[in-house]
Amino acid sequence: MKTHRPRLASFLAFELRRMLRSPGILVWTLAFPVADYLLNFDNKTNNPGAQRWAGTTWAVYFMVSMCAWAAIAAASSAGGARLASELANGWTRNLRLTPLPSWAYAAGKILTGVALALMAALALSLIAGAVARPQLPASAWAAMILACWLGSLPFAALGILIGLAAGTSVAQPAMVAVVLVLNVLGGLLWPLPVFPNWLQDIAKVLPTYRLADLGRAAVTRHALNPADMAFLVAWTLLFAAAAAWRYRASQVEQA
Amino acid sequence: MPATTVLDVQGLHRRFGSTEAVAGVDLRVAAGETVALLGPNGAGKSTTLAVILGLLSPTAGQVTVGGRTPHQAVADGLVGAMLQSGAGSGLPSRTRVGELVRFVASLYPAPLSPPAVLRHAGLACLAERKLDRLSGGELQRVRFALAICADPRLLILDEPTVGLDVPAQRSFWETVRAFAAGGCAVLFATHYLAEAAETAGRVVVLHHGYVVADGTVDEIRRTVTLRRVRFRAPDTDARVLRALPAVQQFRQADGVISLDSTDSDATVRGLVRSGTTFRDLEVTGAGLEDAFLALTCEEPA
Repeated sequence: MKTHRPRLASFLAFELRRMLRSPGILVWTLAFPVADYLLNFDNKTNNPGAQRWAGTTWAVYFMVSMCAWAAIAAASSAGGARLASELANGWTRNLRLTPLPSWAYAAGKILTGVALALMAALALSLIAGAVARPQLPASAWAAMILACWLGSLPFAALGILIGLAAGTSVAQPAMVAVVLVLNVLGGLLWPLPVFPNWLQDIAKVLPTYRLADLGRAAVTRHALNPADMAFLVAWTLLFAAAAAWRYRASQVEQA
Repeated sequence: MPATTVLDVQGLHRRFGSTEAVAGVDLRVAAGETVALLGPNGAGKSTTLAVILGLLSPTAGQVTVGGRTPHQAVADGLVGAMLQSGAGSGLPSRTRVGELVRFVASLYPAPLSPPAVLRHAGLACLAERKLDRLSGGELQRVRFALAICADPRLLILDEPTVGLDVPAQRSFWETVRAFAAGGCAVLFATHYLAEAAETAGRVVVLHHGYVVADGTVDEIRRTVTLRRVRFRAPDTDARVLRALPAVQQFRQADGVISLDSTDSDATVRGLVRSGTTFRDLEVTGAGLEDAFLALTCEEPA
């Protein structure tokens, strides 16, 4: 008798292969953060600010932001429009007629997102490192990538929530809009200190800010900030609970 | 329950709001048997199959597959299914035929080997083909391949040839028959009598959520193909006419006698022998339930 673990591994491998075949995902996850980094990493006027806010250079500060951006986009793409269309076309229901349990289906989708986020964070930091050549110890690089990887978890759950809640035609634009708004408000595009105070207070609650902050702390202090982690765990639970509720509701509608 | 029963449905009811889609279905399928679930749209076929597969829970009644609950039977790989997926393909994007079959087979405790699955489904030479390059008939074979990955003891097919052209339908049923010959029981839903007659040894007719007939195709044809014998007769004895062979129903209005008969030839012979004087004799199709007329007249498109 097989246990569930090889089934989950099998599903994860199948999902990852399919995701990596899609050219759209490369554009969605890497095109924007790479382009924005190449255009803006050399912005000398932001340097004093970066030193004041985070104790590091703007090139490093902005690298963390764009690394977080890439990880967020990658993690959320495992759900979103792909999930919506698989629900609509009947593939998800056909999978329910196999021994793959529904928790393993959800876990497989989330792990796919998280694995893609790791690849995206690695790719972005390699490109950024090659271009900007920031002077960072290897441990800081590793800590930043680890932070972006762990911090992508709530966004994998968010992608699944959007895929479940939005129809096939709405899921893609809804995903782009939600991710863009969260990224901009979370200070990934413009650093948070340039926002008015009231907006900074809102931004500090958002998972995007917390992910970038986790990354910055990892680079400058070689440590994972527990407050950031607590926020990210809370967001993960919130998105996952909403997705589970949405899934149950959809089952009732079908019945 | 006898060891040879692979599916046992008892007193199944399933209600959606105020409508009762399945209103008391009893159905047993023996190991290796091929059974058609025949009925017009809305008869409750798909709902019955969804309950058997554990996708819906019954409002009342019991379903066991191989002696287990539907969920357990799915988890143990006793049952494979091909359901209707409307406009969607029911299949994932960006994958190849062989890759998809290997993945689905890997989920089962004791699957058929992927090459055997591809051979049974007639896909051996399409293993490396991308799914988005397949024709409708080939996609249907892929769905069939996924349904047999488990090496199931019961195969459920819900209107599997809808949307296929006639040659694709023929070759699809040949594939199913060849696989069933290996000992797997098959329960399939259809609204074509011809399809049921060609493939299934036994037909269960579902109408408004009830089983209205269960038997071989010939048995069912006999019970449902009522004919109406009508004639004028001035002096008749209702008792004699009612007692004529094969008469199910007797009606008399304005001197016109109307007899519903399961065998109009026998009824007419009996009428002549009874010495009744009659004129204007005519034999027509009886006013069968519209649904069943639709079934018997409609051929697969």
